[in-house]
Amino acid sequence: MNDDERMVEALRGALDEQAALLEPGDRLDEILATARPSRSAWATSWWLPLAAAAAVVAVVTGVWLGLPDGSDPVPASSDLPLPTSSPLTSPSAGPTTTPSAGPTDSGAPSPTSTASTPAPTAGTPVALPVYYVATIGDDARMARLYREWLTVPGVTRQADDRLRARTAIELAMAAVPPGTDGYLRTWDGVELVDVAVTDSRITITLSGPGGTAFPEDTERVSVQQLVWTAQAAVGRGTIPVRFVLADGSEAIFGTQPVDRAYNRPASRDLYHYDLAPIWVNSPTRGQELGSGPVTVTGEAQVYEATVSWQLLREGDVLDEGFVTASDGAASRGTYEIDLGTLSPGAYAIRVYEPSAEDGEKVSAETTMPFSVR
Amino acid sequence: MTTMGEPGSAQREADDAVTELYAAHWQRLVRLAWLLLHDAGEAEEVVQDAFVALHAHWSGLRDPAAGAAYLRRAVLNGARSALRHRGVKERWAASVRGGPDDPGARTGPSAEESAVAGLSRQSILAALGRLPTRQREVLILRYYLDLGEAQIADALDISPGSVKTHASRGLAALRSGTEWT
Repeated sequence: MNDDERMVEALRGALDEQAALLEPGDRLDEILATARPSRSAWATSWWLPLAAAAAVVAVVTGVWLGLPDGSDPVPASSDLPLPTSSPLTSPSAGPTTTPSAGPTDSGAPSPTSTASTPAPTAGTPVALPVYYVATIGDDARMARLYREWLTVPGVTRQADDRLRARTAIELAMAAVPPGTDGYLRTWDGVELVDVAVTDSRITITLSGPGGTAFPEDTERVSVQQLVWTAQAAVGRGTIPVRFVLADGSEAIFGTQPVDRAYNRPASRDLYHYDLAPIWVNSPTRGQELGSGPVTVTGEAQVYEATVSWQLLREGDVLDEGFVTASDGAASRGTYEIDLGTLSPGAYAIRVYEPSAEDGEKVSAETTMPFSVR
Repeated sequence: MTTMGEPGSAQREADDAVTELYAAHWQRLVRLAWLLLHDAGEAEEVVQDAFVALHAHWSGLRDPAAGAAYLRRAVLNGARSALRHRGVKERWAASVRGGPDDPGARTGPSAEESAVAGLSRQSILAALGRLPTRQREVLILRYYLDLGEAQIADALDISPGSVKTHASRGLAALRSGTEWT
């Protein structure tokens, strides 16, 4: 391979993975409603304010340069660092492990060979977006989805959509991503039997309905976890997802019926039903950053678009502040935190929303460990 | 069954066509707009506008391939005008901040880092962001959408020769910008 070819290959990979960071919302209904003058009245009542809000979205400086420090929003296979310790207590582990589908906890279903067999070829594993359920703040009843980027040897960009979906769903159900804690294991005792993908439907067959130990809303979110994960892995938009329970049961967890199709919410401003209000998108978990200013970016859908943050080092707060996201609670906006230049070492960024009623409590938060070399 | 008040057949035809083109192209076009704009909300807006415009023009197109080409042109034009609009706001913001307006100043570290760490995706994307608009558009259309020269020429309303020139200059600039060798 000459330099040009390598450059092209690298550029393709960079564009593909950057593009995959965005999961477009579904806007077909708005498009058709807007395009039909006679029918637009019902739609404009809620749609126009949304458009207006988007028009004044604050734009961060630097289109591509929002991450001027060399931090990489996409965990490429070779540099997806997954620390082995808890991000909350010790964000110090370096990129020592290769992510694999093999969960270390006992009792988890084993991933199938498709997910764990390294390919003989040197194909670059693709980073799969995998969604996990966790409580979002101090309210233990409120669980929503967070996204992790995981790679599995042998699952490359060239893998067919069924293999990608199968692998990602297995990771979602069974794995505890290294360096995380607090993700709920709602699928214990359930195994993935099969995934079928067509242009109009993704069908996920599970071994059984699973337990009933979680609040009903958490069960709903757990089903959505597989919906988001499967759709993202297939990568062809919001294809409706159907579930089949191999033991003949009629409802997942006893509450989520299988006689209907599931989908992610119809528009971005409804994502809060499924997604945690605050995500950190970069740095990615355990990412090792080079020298230079560190910028944290993420998504937030919080009250008055204000998120607070703390820079932690071995549990101590080194710095803190707050920033405004590009949109208020009406829609999911993006935010950016400039941390300046940090000395080499292990850090964690905690991004949170203090409770509106009680400043002591936290209504939403997430913590992302990273290091600076 | 057609009753009074229902959309006419041309309307229904446009609805169907847009629905089909939406299924095939929505996600990729939003991601294209995202690569150009790096703002999720703006990207969806631009592509939504393109689909609405397509609906209005469907009777003159009536061909899915022409529809797809129309959408690409509309998305690129929309993204370009969004960037222009943003440029005005950013210059204003920069003047208020008194901060440096030179993108190169902000990305120094990534070039420096790439020399050490080899070619990182971040450094490629940063270098892509420093390219002139046309070169960046050509490279994204070619290597993200996998379009051929003729399609790129059509989407950008430039000659196939210019596509070649922009592509090779863009790649050369990326190579030097990322300290490739």
